[in-house]
Amino acid sequence: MSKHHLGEFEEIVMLTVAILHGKAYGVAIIEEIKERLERNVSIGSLQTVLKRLEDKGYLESELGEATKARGGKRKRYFKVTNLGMGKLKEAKEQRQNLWQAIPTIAFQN
Amino acid sequence: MEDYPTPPRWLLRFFRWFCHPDLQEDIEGDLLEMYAYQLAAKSKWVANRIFFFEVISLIKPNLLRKFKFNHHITHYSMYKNYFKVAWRNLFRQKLYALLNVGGLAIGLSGFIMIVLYIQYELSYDRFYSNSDQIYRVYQRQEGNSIRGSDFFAYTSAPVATTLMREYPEVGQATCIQAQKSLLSYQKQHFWKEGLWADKQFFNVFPLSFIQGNPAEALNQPKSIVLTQALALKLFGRTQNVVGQTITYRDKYRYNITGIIANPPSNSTLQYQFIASIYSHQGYKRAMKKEIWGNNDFYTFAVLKKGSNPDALAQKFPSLLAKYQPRDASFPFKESFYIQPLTDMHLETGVNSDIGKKGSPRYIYLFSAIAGLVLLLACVNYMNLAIARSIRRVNEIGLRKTFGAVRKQLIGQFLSEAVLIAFLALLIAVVLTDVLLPRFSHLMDSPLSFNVTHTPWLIPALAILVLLVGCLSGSYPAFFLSSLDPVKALKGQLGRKFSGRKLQGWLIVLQNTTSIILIISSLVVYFQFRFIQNKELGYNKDQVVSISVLDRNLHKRVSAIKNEWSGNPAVLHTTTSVGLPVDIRNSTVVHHLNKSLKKDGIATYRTYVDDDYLKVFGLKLVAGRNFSSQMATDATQARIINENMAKALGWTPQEAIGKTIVDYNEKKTIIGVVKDFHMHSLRKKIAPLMLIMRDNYLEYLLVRVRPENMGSTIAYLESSLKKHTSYPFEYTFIDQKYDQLYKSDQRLSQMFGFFTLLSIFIASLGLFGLAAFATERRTKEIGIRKVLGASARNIVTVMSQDFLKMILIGFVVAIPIAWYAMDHWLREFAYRIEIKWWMFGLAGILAFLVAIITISYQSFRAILTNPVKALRNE
Repeated sequence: MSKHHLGEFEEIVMLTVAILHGKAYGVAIIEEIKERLERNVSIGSLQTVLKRLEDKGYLESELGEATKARGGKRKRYFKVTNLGMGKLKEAKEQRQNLWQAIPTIAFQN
Repeated sequence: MEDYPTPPRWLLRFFRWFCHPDLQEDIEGDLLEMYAYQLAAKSKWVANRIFFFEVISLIKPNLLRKFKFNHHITHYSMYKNYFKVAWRNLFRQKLYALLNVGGLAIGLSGFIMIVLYIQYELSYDRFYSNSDQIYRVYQRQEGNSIRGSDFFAYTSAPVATTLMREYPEVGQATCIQAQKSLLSYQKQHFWKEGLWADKQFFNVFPLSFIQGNPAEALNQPKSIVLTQALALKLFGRTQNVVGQTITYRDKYRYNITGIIANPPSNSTLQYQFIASIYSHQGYKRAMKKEIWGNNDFYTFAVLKKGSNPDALAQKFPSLLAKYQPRDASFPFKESFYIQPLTDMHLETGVNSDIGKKGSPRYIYLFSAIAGLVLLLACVNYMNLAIARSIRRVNEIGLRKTFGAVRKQLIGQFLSEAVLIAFLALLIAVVLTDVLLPRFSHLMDSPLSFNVTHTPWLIPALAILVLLVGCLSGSYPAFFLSSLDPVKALKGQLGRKFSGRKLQGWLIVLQNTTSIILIISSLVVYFQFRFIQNKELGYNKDQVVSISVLDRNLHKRVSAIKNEWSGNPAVLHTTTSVGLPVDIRNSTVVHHLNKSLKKDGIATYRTYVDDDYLKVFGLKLVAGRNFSSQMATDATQARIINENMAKALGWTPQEAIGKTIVDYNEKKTIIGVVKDFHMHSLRKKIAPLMLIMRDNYLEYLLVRVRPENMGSTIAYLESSLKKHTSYPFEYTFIDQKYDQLYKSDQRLSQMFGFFTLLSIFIASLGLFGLAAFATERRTKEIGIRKVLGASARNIVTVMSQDFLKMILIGFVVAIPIAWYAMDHWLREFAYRIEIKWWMFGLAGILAFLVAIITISYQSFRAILTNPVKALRNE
């Protein structure tokens, strides 16, 4: 299909956005990753990935309502696009194929 | 969470600056949320640190705003191009570059020097920490006019202490007398100027002590504070000098109580030492009985902060009424005045004033000249730039075609002008550095061109360059940028573009200025020559004037005169108080039966002996000379001048034997002497009285033979050494006379210098313009030559335009110069008349310079082969 392959962190971010279904904004994504994978992610590294994925069309975003918290700043909610979903599935299949290709003997030692 | 905690603001601002505006809002929200979350869990310091790293982590290429790098790059290359073009223009046309930059540099250099001079003049007495609080008290004696002013710097001795006692706003006040004195140490004698001051002196003038204690230095009589320079001269050191003694007037032992720094040159008070006034006889006498009215001292006071000097001055009449009541016979009306110390240097209308005097008129005059010189230089630049712009019409057309907007072109030309102004400034700085010593000598002021002394110099020069650049570049910038690109490229503007009219007027302006300056220099020069050749009524040449420093010398005068008369080189010797070149002493006399108050005649007086008339070649109109044989001559006789006889209402013959009253004493007129100029020629001849006196003298005046002057003076010196231990100080009367006109001489030299400068600048401009005109008309000249025009014809054709402009300048200059110089000459009671030939001479000079300048170019054009000129298309 496409020449682009999802990076590991990109995949995690997309999956997390999908998990949070409709509530995925910056801090929530960081919290979710931390909780599930025990991995600390800085805002910078998350945002740059989000921007990149959005530019590629795997994610889309819209600004939410303004809230008094967060200094009155709005949240940007991310959603996985169909293209993104396809890409995720493709990645998953590729992994699956790889797993299945491993000869059973390899697990014995 | 209602109130959101705020992270460090500067970080937030930094984030907002670099983040892409589309992403900024939600990411900032994330940052703030995260921060609040961290703050809840950890300390503020940790939260801040985390926040810092979060912000740093956000510096990612795809999150950054679009910085306008590309935009900048195009501008940069454009500026580079401007610079390149400006530079190439300078180098391609080396001559014009030289004229342009050179003219501007000379103008700037003149301007800088004058500004330094003015700055120096205004810096007088501003170095004390309390300069703005120091005032001097002086007085007016209405009716007692000496050389045009009835103000006097002297006050009575008790004024200082009385001011302190009576008026709370007077913080400190000090009484000073300035006196040259003989100081000796180990048989070495020094004749030095110094001050005598009371113990408040160092409170009024907070001078810094190198050794000693200012609070006690002058408390005791016979204490003396030396300057560093004098200490080094006497002792060769400044350490361990305090506590030593030196001898005053070869007799009295004085204790050294302190060493102070040398006074700066811009100080009104100049001294080598400051001695305690408590050992001063006159002061002691005056203070003992609180005698007022013997005006002999200067009074300075420090007013407390916030007090009003005018309010203090209003209390002076009551002070005078209380302490210095005068009876009805006193002829003058006295009043006290107060003046800031910092105004003293430029105050020239006070008699017997202390310190070196500047001239406020000079400051105005020189400011005007400085501005004029700078203007001339700018005009020059403008002129040449307009001329050169013909060549640049193509460049402008091309730039416009490529989309340059007018603003950019204006910017280009202005920055080019600023660039040239900057170059000129660099040269001007070097030039100033070279010329300043001469200029400072001319102005008799130690000027320095030193950035560390005057920190405002660099920013001031930068502003000056911008100003000069913008001023001189403005016309070319605004005019050239308005050209129509199509016409410009077609070359249709060369012939008749509107710059030429302005050019013409600029040349007229330049020439007007030069011609005014030429006329002024001529008038000043001729007046100066008039002064030097004027028949003064006495013979000032070959008279040696020896200052008598030793007050006891009068006892030996007859012995000295006897001895000298034996030397064939000495013709006559006399003694005097005051010199005939500038008689200052004055009094009021009256007729025997009239009152002093109503009919007093103000008259100058000078003390002489019986050889005075012989030494100066003064002629008696009537009566006889003093005689040492007549015992009464020394007490009762008076010789007056014709002017005084007239003032008394007598002819010279009638005056002989008449009695006048001088200080309530009857005096007899024994002779009338022909009027002579006893003051500068600014003043009219006034009444004068010669009085015989043998118990006090200031000068020994010796008429000598003109041959072997050196050995005669050596003889006088060695002979006088036998009678006194004081140093031998002499001068010639004609030198003293020249000193009266030192400021006029300076004016004359300054005028000469700036006249040359302005002629030079104007010639540079003319030269450049002529060169351009010639170049533009190369073809025309070629055709004329082919058709048989002679060289003279061509020169006439070429110079016509310019000469017309100079003629206009000449016509404009005449009334201005006449008005200004007439005004200046009015200061002199004896003066030359402004003659028409002076204007003529100035005009011819201007024309000659112009013709030489222009014809150089014309001849070049004539000498080129017409074929070459006509072929070049």
